[in-house]
Amino acid sequence: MKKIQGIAGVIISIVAGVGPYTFLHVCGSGMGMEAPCKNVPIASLITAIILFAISLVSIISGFKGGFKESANFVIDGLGIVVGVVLTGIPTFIIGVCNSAHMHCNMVTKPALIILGIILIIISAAGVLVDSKNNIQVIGKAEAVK
Amino acid sequence: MSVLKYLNIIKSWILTNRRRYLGLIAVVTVLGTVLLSGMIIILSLRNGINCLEDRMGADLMIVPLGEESKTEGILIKGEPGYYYLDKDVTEKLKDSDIEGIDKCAGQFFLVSSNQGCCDIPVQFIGIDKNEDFTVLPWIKKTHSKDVLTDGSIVVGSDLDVPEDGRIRFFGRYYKVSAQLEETGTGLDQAAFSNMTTIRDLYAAAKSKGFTFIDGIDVDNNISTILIKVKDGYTPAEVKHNIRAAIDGLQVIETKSMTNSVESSLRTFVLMLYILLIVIFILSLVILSVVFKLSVYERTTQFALMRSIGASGRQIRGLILTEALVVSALGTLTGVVLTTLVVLPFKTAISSAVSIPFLFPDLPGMVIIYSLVIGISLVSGPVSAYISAHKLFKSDVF
Repeated sequence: MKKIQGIAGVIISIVAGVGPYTFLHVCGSGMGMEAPCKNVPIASLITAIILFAISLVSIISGFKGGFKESANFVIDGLGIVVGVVLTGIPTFIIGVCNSAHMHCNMVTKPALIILGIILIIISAAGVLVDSKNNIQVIGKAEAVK
Repeated sequence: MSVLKYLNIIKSWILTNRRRYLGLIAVVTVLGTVLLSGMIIILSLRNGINCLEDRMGADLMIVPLGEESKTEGILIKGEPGYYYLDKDVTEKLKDSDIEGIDKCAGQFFLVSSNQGCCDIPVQFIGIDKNEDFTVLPWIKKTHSKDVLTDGSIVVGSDLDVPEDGRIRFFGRYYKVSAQLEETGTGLDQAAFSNMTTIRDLYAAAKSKGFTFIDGIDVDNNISTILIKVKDGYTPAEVKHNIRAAIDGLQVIETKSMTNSVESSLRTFVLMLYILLIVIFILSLVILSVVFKLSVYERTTQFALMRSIGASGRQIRGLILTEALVVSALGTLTGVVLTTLVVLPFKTAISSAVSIPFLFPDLPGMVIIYSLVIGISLVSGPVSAYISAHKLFKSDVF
């Protein structure tokens, strides 16, 4: 499960990091006016880099023993936080242009929100699976005793 | 056998043969996705065309010669544009006493520029408040008591109204007195004003260095004249009468504009219907074949169940419930995927298609979702029915 989470996280981080500079581009500033959305790409890139690092750890981690359970929950929790941040960048954290037909409002904002929601769902699923595995491990340990 | 026991047995089947069930769920997911997105697109296109017909209001439009395609661009595709006639055309229409004209209203067009980061070109339309019969009936939200006063504008549904209720054009602020209902056409990005305000806008544009056409002014020129035809006359008759009386004008029947959009969409919508039917039949066939093989594969298992006391009816019920669970999971996945893709990007989709495109309202969406969920849910049990029905038809016990 952690590897699947990690791969999904890598894909989401690439789209969230590269997208706002390419096909999910925001508006450009011009004629002395600054677009409200101008900081969305950099914020998204920083968040994507953090997510990429967490996902890499998730894929290659070999946590053993009692430390593994805590580490898994930390990774899941960080995933949820990053998902909330991704969702928040175009909404309550930075925001985008108000006009419905601006590209940042039509495309960038919904894309980042969806990526954030998917990440939250995957991380929440990770929490559920890890909790279940923990209970099974504890059950086996009790049985052995 | 209780429902819980059924579900536990089905859960063990799914966990034992995950790949098969993932494949079945994927088939229903595709069915649900295609059905839902197809029906949303079809209904949105229909809504857009119907709204365009309703919003036209006028039966005929008089524009300068050769400007028919530009008019289509303004009304249908949302491509701002402008052109001008001499205002004396209005006088000529009245003086010629042309048969069949019920109402007549002039409009003056301007276009704002893209002024930088956050401005999009906006179509301005100046109207005579006392003559107009096409804009005022569509006012949805009125922000002040009197609309279209000097210095105020009425905006289309897509234009964002700031909190202070004022929008800036060409460096000057104009109060938004009302907002129009959504139409899914180019008029959603238009702003309407009276002739005094459009004169002010024109002067503001010129002061900013924007020129439209040399020698044009609001007092002596008009962009288009909208005509409502009297009962008992057809637009074609009145068009002929106008052409006979006055030369050098393009007279457009608005119905023909909507008809041409409709006919170009007809083939597309037909192909979409055919695609939906083909996908549905294909899904049923695939599900039927896989369920049949799956039942055949488990004949021994079912015989064992029979031998320990399960009735044929219970086993058939188990198979149909299995099919229902598969359908339910596939339907849920398909509906969620489509909702995540289509609804957040609906503005981008309607912008990209450049034809009247109006998403269904809430009751419409509820009907579409209910229909799609219903069809997808029954696809599994319907496919599995024959296999389940034939099982243990002739009992040897």
